[in-house]
Amino acid sequence: MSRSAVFFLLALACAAFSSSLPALIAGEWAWASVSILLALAWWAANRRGYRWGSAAFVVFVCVSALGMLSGQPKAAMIVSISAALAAWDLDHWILQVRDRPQDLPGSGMENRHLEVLAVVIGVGTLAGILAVSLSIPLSFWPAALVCLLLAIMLRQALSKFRQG
Amino acid sequence: MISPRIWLPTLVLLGLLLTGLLILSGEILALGLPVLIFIGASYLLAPEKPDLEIRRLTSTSAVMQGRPVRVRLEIANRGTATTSIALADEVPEGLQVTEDRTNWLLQLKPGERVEVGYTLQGRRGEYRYRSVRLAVTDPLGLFRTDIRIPVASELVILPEVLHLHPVRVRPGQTRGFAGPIPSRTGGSGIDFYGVREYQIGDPRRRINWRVSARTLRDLYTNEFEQLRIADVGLILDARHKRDLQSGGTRLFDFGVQAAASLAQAFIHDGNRVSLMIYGFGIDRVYPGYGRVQQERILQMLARAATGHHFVLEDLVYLPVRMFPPHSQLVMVSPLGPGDAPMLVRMRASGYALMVVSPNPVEFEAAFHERSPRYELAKRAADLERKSVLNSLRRVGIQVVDWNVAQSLDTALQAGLSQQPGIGRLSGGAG
Repeated sequence: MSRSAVFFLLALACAAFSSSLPALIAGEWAWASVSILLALAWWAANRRGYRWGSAAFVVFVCVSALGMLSGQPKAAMIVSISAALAAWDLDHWILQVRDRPQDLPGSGMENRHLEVLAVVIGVGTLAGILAVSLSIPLSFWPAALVCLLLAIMLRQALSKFRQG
Repeated sequence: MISPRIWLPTLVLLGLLLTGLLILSGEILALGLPVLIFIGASYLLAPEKPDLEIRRLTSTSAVMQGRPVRVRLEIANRGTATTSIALADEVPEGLQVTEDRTNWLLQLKPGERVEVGYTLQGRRGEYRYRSVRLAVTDPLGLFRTDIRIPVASELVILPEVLHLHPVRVRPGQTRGFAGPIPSRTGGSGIDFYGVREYQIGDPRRRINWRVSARTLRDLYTNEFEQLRIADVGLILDARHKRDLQSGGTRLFDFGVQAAASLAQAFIHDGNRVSLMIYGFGIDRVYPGYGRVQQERILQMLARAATGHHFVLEDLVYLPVRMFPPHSQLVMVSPLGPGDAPMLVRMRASGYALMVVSPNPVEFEAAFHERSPRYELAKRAADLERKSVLNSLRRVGIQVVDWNVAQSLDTALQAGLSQQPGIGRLSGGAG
């Protein structure tokens, strides 16, 4: 098993347990089983080479959002979405390099990818946890303005790259 | 360029932003932060155009059909940053990779040089490599730059050459050097040629004592036929209308194979051989001897292709005068009904002519479903072809009707052994 596959499994386990553990403790079996079954299905699909990662990631995002709204621990939901994002990235990576295993040893690409991913996911998780820990009261219109600005910035960045 | 992968995190981010905005939930907005940082990091780490030097090296520039060729790519990073690339070599159509792959994932440190390679085989032809494709992505794979770097090189796959037994020809004129072809002149040789009066210096063992005994005063000496080399002109018919294609093979390819094999056989015997390809245009290899000439002919045959030209549709404009007078010509052509008159004219001009004709009727029959109607049509085509070939044989043209399912050597041996009186039909001795 490659290092990417090990980290993929860890990310899946982390995503499943962080979203289901609070539910398990509270005895909400149905809620908990959704995440665990989803993680198992994703892992099996990856093993068989099926490209179901995107759909599974979207479901994990929905589960995290619903968990957040239904009063599950916020930090756990942030960890869940971050781990699901890491799993989505590693799923793609594993499937991409599956047919060329001889390229990886010695190339350093896998290590670099894992290092960057770990840093990005770590920073993202911390930022998310920090954000849910802080309480800044915002009314609709300032929040809408902030979101609009963010959307415009994102659009500008993407169009710049498209031209480049 | 943006990888298609970016759309999912972007849509997830926008979905979370909009949902958080609609239901006024800061927690949902916070869920989007890891995704936003993921996209942002990818954006910041997006690669610049790499500064790479790529060279393609092949184990040989020309190789016989069926033999493997090793292709190597040398990639050197001349930039100042470590570069991760997905590299793919664009193999020209018609070549098949038999060992290893043509795409690689590589990470190159500044100044680092790596070598990758693969083995391929191909059918006869000239293949031009143009470029290699590179894809450079950020470490998270969301932003990608596709580059095509021109790395031109050429590979020639030479036609297969079959080993043939010596091909017996008797041109009207031979050249001055010793060789394998009877020259119609007396001298030292193997085959008995005639008897002449004894001359001082003749070896005693050559004196014909029986003839000498009939006279009282004179002695007579046996003469043998001198063996010389000759001028051999190969003509390959590349007219599109004489080509057939069935079951993924082309009759023209058999013609090329025959021309290559005959060229090798004649050159091996020491003859001076030239080649003319008559099709879309007239391509020539001027007469020459030896391995270099054989290489020239094979290179020309490797590039040979059928074509159509209104002027060269018939053999009428075949420039026969480009060949030395009374030399041996070998025409490789499937032949059709309209071709016989020109070949007869060539024979009448004093050329010794041999026609090696890949049989188009049998070639097509091998791939055709049998039915009574087809059998009838095949019989008619056979008769028409036999009539053409017989009209050639009648004027002293050596004809080899080659069923391409059999070996060329067998067809040549069988075909040439049946030719009556070839020697008597040729012109004066040289």
